[in-house]
Amino acid sequence: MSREEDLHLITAYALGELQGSEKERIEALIQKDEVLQQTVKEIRATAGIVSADLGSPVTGLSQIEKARVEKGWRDLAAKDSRSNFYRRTVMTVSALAAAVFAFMIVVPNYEKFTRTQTDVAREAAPPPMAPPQKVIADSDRSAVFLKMEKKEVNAEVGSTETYGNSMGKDSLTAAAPASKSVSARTKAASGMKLPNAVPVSVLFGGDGESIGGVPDGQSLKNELRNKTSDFVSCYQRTLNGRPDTKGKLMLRWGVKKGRATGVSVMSSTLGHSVLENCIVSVVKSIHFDPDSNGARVVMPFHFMSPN
Amino acid sequence: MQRRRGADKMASVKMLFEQHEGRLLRYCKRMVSDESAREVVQDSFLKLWQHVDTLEEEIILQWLYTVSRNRCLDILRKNKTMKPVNFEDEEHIGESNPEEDYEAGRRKQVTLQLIRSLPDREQEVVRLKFQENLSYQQISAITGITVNYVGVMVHNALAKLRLEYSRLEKTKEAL
Repeated sequence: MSREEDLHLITAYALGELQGSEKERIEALIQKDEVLQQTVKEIRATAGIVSADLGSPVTGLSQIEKARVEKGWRDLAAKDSRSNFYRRTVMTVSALAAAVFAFMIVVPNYEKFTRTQTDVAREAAPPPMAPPQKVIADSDRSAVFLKMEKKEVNAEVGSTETYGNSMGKDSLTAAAPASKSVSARTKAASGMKLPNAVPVSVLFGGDGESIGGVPDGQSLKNELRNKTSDFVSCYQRTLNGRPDTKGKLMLRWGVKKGRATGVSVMSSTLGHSVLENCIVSVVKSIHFDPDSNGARVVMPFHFMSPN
Repeated sequence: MQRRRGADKMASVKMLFEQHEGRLLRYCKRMVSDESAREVVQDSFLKLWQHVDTLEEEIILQWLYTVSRNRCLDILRKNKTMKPVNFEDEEHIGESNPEEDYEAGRRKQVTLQLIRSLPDREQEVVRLKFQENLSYQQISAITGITVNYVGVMVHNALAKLRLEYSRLEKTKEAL
């Protein structure tokens, strides 16, 4: 810092304009230097003289002018008060209008607004199958009917009983999933269109069926029936991608230590290897009764849908 | 509640008015005519009513000076002629004080002459500092000059005055 700059700062210090570290620094400089101490004294004396010489008595505004200013304030205060009233009124009316509008929008669409992510995901997911409510077994025909849990959905999708009886085969039939049926009434009320609920049938047995190596194949058929939902599920998934899939699948397998061995496709009119493999996997997963050990099975599966 | 707030506001603005209107008028009279200066001060305090709620207490004074100064500069620009500065108040004081001795009167003349001889900007800074008792910071905010340069101006003015005073002392001793 040059001497000239220091002098400016010394003047500022003498007039009480410095603060903080700068003040401390200049203060330290002054304490070490008697000439600077004298300079500070002179600056203060000069400043005092200038202030005294310039300090002319103040003559302010006249009483009339002061009264005019005060009247101006009163007018402005009244204006403030009026504008505050208008502002408050406008804000209140706006808030009420917004509340009414929100009420009108939200209430009719309450269901839509309150739908959670879980609801959305559940509706987007492939339909899980409704568990069989009632199994009607015919000892000769081995017909199985899966009834829908919800009657209103049955009404929408139509009866599923006709397949099994009319075909005279073991049938595994399912319709729209229960999860859809739960919200069916609500959606209908809100005007949303329901996706088509498709009843499907998977029938096994009939022409070409052969169960050898065991005295009675009934136990084996019961195990197949227990896998009803899995067979139908395979078919449902296929229909989601290719709705026109239908036909006959002929499987052959043996039973050893309660498990299906050598499961193979003898013939198929499905034209859908994924569905075929899925059915094969279900058969492989069955735990057969020990009575079925040694069985040699040839079993036709019929896949039918209204499509 | 609203009325009470309004009453509080009225009281605080009135207090500010009583404290500063005279100083502000003196400041404005250095730039514009007496009549204009009076109008400027009244307008500034009416304007204060609209802004007092949003102003920090410590900057109200500099706000008043700034608003008045800008208004005075507008008037000057409009008239396009600088008003000859009225020094009557300052001259009158010396003459009207019979007890003031000759030396003090002489020194005062030197002070006023020297300040009047300064450039307008420097003169304004010196007056704001020693007449209105404002800080460098406030002067900087009012005039738009940097704090550092305000310091330089004040320092230079005081240096000149010290020199003049010492000359006066020497003259007195010589006599």
